Amino acid sequence: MNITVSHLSKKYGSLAAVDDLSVEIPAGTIFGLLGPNGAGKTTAFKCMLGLARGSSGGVTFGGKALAPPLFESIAYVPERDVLYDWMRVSELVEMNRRAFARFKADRAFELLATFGIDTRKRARALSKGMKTAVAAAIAFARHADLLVLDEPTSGLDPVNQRHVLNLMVNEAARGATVLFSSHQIGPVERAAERIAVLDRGRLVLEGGIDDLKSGRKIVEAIFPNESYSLDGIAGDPRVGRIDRSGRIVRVMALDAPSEIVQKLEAAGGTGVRIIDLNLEDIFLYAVAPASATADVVEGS
Amino acid sequence: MVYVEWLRVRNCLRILAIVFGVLFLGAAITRVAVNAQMDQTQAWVAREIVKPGARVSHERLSDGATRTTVDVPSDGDHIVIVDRGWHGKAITISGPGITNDRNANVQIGSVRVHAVRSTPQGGSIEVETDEAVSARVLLLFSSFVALIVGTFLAGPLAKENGNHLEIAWTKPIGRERLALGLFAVDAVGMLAGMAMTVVFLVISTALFELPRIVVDSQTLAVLALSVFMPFAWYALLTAASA
Repeated sequence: MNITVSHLSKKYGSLAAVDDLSVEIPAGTIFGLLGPNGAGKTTAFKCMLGLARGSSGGVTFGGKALAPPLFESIAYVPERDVLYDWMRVSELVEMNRRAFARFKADRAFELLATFGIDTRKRARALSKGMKTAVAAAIAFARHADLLVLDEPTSGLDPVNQRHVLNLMVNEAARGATVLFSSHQIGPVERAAERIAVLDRGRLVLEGGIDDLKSGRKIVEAIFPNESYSLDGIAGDPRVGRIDRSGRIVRVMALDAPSEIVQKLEAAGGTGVRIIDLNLEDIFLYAVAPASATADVVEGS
Repeated sequence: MVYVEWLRVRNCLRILAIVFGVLFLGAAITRVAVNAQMDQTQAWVAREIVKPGARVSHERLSDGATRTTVDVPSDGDHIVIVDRGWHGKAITISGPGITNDRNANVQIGSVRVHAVRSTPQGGSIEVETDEAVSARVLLLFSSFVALIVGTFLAGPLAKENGNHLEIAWTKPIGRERLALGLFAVDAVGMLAGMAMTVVFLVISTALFELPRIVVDSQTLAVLALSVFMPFAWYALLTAASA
């Protein structure tokens, strides 16, 4: 099921939680929505699923507008804990079995066992990570055409994080579309084929991970002391971003990295090397400078 | 789609059943406690009958009941027992030895005890074990309980909206239909609460004497009112919490 988001906006007074978001998510792909905290990821999901009324714009699922019967094929795992605290896990499974024709209770119990969840326990007795696991297990047992997972690895231990990511890949392999959000780079890098980066409600970057990486490199240099000048580099249009952390400088080269190497060497840098871009670099480039972690950030 | 609401209703009725269970246990203990007292009354009558000089006469009445009259000249006691078989007994005891300091009329279920204030010449006590119990009383009691049940169940949409919106509104069913389904389940819960109350009241009073429940011309109106009141209260709370 492909998703088309067209000019979706959600405003709270003068604050735009989602600002003119347009994105096409092809069927059968794993699509990661990245963004810092408060970027508008959850609001975007809520608007898409009709849980919040968008101020403008629209969304279609497989070419159709959202309608109640469509939820038979859409599984949603919200970011916050929405499980009924007083219900047993087995009752939560039963609730889904009764609500969704395609839900496979056996599969749900199998997944819950894999996550190490005791199905006799009440939801209130579960830890945050366990609740996330329960919500994810139930969603994966839905046999849905579209999974919308808001921070699906939040609170999970590394083993279960890996398990959820594998399940996402399996769902995509079966033909389902997986749309998930995270403010952590790792899970997205491991699972997503395409990403979009939201920052303060706006889409700042979108595309296939390989496409986003292609042609871009990181040039890293170490300077003998902290009194060095990058004046000739900071203004270069081929430089996307400069992170300075003490004597170490990392420059994102949008083009011609070898020329950036020369400039860094001319500035006194030693051990200059070109390294492949990772998703964290792409993310920081997209949301810089507000979300930077380096001591000093510059860039276009 | 309304499985969660069924569970809420089940939990609410389970609590109600526990409360009724405790009350029933209390009634059973009371029944056992007064059992000796009830036996004493019978034993007292039996003792009166065998007192020297006691005159006992039996008479078959036109309605098939048996009237036993006991006169005890030595004490001045006069006892009349009308035994109507399945329809219970009416016992009247009078004599100088009965000293009631005031009039009293107590009814528990079908058993009514009427004590007349004594004069210097003595007093009397009437015991009727087949007093009519109006169905209206049962309905009003059950309506009150349904009102409490309705208070617990009211506002199902607000409960969903508060913490579980993402679950409730992503079901493959229209929101109006889901809301109507929730209300219907709650209505069944309140009616079940009423039924449980009636059953509890009947079996609890039956511990003492099988109640003779009377349905009269006003019962239907009271039934309608008894159902309407908790439903109206439920609707009010649900609207207020929406």
